[in-house]
Amino acid sequence: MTIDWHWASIPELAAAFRDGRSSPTAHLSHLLGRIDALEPSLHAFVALDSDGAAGAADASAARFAAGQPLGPLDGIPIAIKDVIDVAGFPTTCHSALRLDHVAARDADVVARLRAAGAIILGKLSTHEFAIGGPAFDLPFPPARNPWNTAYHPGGSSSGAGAGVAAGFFSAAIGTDTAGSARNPASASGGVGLKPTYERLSRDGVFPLAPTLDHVGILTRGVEDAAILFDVLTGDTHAADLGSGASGLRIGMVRHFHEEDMPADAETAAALDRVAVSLAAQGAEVIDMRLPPLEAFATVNRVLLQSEGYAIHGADMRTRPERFSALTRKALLPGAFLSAKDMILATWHRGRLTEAVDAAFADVDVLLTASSMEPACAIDDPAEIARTYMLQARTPFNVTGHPALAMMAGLSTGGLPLSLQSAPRRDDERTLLRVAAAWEAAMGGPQHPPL
Amino acid sequence: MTEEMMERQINWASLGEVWNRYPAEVEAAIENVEASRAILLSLGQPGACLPDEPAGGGQ
Repeated sequence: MTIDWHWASIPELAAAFRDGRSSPTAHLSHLLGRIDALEPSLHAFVALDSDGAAGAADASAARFAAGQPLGPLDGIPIAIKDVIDVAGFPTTCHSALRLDHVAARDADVVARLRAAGAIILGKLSTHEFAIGGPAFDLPFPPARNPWNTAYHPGGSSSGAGAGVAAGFFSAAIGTDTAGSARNPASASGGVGLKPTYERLSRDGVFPLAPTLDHVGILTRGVEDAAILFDVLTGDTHAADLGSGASGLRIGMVRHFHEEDMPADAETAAALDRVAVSLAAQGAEVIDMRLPPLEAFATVNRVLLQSEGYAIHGADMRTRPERFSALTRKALLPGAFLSAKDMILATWHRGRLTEAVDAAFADVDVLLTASSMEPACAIDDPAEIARTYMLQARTPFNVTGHPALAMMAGLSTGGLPLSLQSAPRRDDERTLLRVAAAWEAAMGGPQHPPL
Repeated sequence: MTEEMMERQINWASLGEVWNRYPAEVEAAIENVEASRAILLSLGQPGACLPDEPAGGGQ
């Protein structure tokens, strides 16, 4: 049987490296060939570090040959959203404003991955400053969706989602301020994990809105996400994934996608199938009401615009032409928000957080929509603008609860449909467990026809 | 001059160049803020008597 190594999970690769069926060097060579063939149509990378990756792969191969791998990520290729520092490479944020800002040292998350033996493959496309995109007026083209390159791959961790889904690397590190690690997993398939606020270090990560910013993990499968989370936190979640959904109490927040921002019929039907599947596995699924989605979205927007303008206001005032038009559109409102607005948004944030915390008195995990529709055409600005807000990811940036988005099925148009789940604060274990239960019911991670 | 008009003048002074070059974008930003502000106010304010809180309750 021929193995498609580019779809292999992290444990499958580690096993193959140990028993000699593959090696970090051979695997990297395979991936670089795949990238060479497919990258011209996907634009996942801003910078590919073939030489650095080759050196790291050789060092990893030597450790395996000596029977001394560093751990589950040794020899595993991982790529980094280009708002996160990788020593020796510019952290461009996909912007003309930062093409020369070479990082002197690795961000904390990158350093942890390197210490675990991971191979840092390169820097990945993003929306400009993790907010303005997909845009065609920037120094690099926008990433495209591997399921259909005419479509948006989700963002702002767009290269991360596209590259993971395309089989360019096993995992990517992204960021998530209003859903940016979960949107790509919703649009391009795979898994997007936003851990609890400040669970992963933001040291060396260019900020968008510091009180909302999270570092996120993107992978093709849940087990791979758990392994990365464990390596980055020193925790042990991966061991718990096989326990299924039995006994879990799941609160389905239907009003998000049935009343607040109505989802298309295929997305709504997919969410129902997920709920039925989890109930069939022994979970108790009940309907749950939270504050309206508009409240979360507005609080997120006001905080993001205020904090983002505090960072970019000087450049916006003095050289606005250097930004993408979409970035100006996203951040200019921050110039007109007052301290009174910020205080009111912060007050509502507290109330919304209390409401979500209270919901967990009755359930272990929430099940919600992620995107209300599958991805739209990448070159249709009106559709991009229309669908940008049709999502239920902002609640958990506002509250800081962990959340995970993943594939819920395929649309009749052949694009991923998505779901989101969220547990109590710091309970990534339950989050990953319920995600693994749905993934198993789905037949494992699904891949685009590439 | 209303509070909103004063605020606009202050912002115009600080944003002059952007406003001159991208007037439609700036007007859209102002509309965006006004919409957000209306939603925030509709959700309630500190000190107001909210439906789930007794009058005078809390600190």
